[in-house]
Amino acid sequence: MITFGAPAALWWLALVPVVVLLYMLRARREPRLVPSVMLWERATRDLVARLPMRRLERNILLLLQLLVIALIVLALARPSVALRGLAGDAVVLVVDASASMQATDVTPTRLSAAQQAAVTLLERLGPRQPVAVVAAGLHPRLVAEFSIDRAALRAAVHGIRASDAASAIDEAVALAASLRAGGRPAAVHVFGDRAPSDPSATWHPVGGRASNAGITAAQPRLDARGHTQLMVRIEAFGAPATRTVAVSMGGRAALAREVHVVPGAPRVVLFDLARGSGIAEVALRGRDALPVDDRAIVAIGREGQPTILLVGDPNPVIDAAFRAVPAAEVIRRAEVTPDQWGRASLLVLDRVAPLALPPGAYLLVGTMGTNLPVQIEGTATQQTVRAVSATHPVTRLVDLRGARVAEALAIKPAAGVVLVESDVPLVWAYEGRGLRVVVLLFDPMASDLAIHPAFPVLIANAIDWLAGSPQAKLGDAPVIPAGRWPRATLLDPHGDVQTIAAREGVFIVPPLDRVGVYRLRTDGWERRWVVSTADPRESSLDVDAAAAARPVGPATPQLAQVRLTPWLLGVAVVLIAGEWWLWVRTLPRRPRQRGAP
Amino acid sequence: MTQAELLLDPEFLSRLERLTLLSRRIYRSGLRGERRSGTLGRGVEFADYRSYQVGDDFRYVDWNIYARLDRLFLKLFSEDEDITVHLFVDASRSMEWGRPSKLDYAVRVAAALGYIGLANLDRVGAVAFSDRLQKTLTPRRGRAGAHTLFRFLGGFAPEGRSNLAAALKEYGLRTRRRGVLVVISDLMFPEGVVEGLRLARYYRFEPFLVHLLSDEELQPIVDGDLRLVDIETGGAVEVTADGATLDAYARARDRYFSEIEQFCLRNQIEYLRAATSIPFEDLVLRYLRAGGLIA
Repeated sequence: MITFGAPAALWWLALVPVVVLLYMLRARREPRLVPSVMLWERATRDLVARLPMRRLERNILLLLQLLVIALIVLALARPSVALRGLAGDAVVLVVDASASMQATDVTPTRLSAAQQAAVTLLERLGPRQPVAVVAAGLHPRLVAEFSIDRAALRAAVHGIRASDAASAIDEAVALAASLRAGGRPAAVHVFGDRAPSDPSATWHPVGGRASNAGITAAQPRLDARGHTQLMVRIEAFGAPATRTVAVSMGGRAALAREVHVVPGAPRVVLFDLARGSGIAEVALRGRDALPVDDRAIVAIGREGQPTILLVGDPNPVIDAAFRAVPAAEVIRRAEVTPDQWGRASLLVLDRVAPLALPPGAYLLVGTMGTNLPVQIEGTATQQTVRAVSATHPVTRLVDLRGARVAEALAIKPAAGVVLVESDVPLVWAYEGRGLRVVVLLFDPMASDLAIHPAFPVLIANAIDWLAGSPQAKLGDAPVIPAGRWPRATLLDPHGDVQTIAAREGVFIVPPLDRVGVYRLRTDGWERRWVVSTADPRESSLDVDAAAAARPVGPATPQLAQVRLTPWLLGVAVVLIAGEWWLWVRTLPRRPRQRGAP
Repeated sequence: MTQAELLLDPEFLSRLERLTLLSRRIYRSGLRGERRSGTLGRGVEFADYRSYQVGDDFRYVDWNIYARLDRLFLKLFSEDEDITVHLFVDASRSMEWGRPSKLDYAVRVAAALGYIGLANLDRVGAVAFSDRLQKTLTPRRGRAGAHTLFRFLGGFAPEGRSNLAAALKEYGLRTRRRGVLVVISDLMFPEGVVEGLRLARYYRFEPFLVHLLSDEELQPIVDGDLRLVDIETGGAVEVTADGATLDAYARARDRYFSEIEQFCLRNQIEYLRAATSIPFEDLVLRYLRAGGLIA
């Protein structure tokens, strides 16, 4: 079946009647005197005798032109057709590495079974067939390029580990389908418990129907009295389950409660926690097919919150705002040198003299860094907020329109983003050169922000963006200013260690794909992120029975998506050449000079 | 064309004087000329003997034979006579085509042939015809007639449409003199060519057909969608001048030429086809000699 990548291009077919019309209008005959039409009359009688052929000859150029237009228009519509048997000898093995592949309904796990099935297929292939391996984790990853080295390919397959996130199986299949071995597409084989939507890929299902109960959400909250509560949501899939939910902090069991959940009816359990901070671990006791969703990790209180160093004279508005936001520690100093602010996650420079900022995260209040890409043009007075950025995370849920500022620095930024503006920018953010900076270009004391409800939200968002929130989601890839440290060590929840080098002044942390606490350490500081639960979509372990019934294995004819655009353009070029040749043939021949009668 | 232009190069004229018009048939004109006639009589060239009959001139009795055989025989001598050359020039509109025009070329050919005839004491007449006789010059004799002939030929102007049969019918009725009929025409008319030549045979002329064509008629230079208008008749033909059309034209042209050639061959008519791009002197001195009209 033919599919079109840009079907709107087919509108260009409207050119066809235009060409026919032009062809008809062209047939105006120019009068010319000749000594006699006697021979011409005889010639036309001769042509009339061969009229059908003449008509064909006359119209063949028009037909060719119409055909060329049709072919070019079709090519612009980017058609492709799925053909059996055109896939090359090459094979791409796609192994699902999602959280559900850790299920134990297949011994030892679905992932192990998928890896074994992939290796079995690998061994059945011919020794000269090139094979590539793609891991379908949170993001598809090519773990082995096309190779005939079976040992390396086996190692690549066995080296795939399951994440606690959902897999992008269709993205992985698209990546596999885009790979070319010797210019030809490869046959794609998918090993996992989720069917790919691309029918050209051969799916080797792993697993079957399995019941499971899991924690699908866990997060802290404050009750009306200001006490910390832990909210845990439990769901059952496949069959009702009665399980015990236990909460422990710092390795000590604190609370436990038995819950009965039925499929389709999630249960939410609240635990009152004592005052304090730390890492709370929630466990669903008992065995089921998927252990990874039986555990949740939550940062409580100040655990993982940034240490903030406020520099400058006391500022009641700023101090009040920082008291309202979660932070591990807020320290105010009247004066501090760059050597002394090393351990702080975030430095707030409040109305201090402008200075050159070393790499790091800063909130500047009523001042400016001398190395930031702005030009200060003086001051502006009596400003009223007119516009607030709706997309930047710092101004998320912040509506400061109408707020008034008595006096602000008037700047002309050469980079960064203006977040709040009046006649001049009032809040400006910049990221680059190892710096991440939010600048309030006015003294909050000289504004009515103190009474504005959105101001603490603005400060909280700024702290989250500058220092990072300890609570992370699966797939987050934090970017942390590196400061003066060239490299850092990332310790994941399973204890695996990875060294990350600073690039352009920042540490780019790989996507977080496991439940637990991640630690990024340098010699001077440590940042922590807590990923609470596995992806809730992975808790349902049922394999699509209808999709699993599809024929599988190498005997299945492969569908290769063949793009027709180059072929159509090639045929169009040939037709243009043919039309030119025919046109030249129909041109009148030049008479030769006659030397004798 | 002025008379001065018509007057041929003196050197060329002197070359023409060495030529004579040939005729396969002998015509009785009544006047002695420089051409051997069928009449045996008072010439100088011995032809035959015959028995004496009462009334014969004794001066032609061969007395030597009488002495040997005792019988009277008369010596017969062939008598030189002249022939009449009719220059029949097509002066229709189609003859003005070409560079030089076919009419100019035809007039010069007629002038050359006429001069050869006059120089050999033949009678030379000339006619400009279209679908009728436009102008007629009665046959005259002697080199002194060249001036008149040239003036007559110089006065031709293209006019009307061609019909050889109609013109010859009129001419055949008008003149009693028979002789060589040199028809110079492009024959670019659908009717009257064959009938005209048949009429010429019927009137006992000895036709010699000079078929003049311009290069553009032999190989038309046309391109695209055209409405071709006949300069003579005003008739039009719409053509798309592409390779196939020109091929069809070439086939029609060759077929037409072949028809004329076959007709002339069957009816013992000398036929010469020439393009106006051929130098005029070459046509007269080479091709007309090779064609058997002059020697």
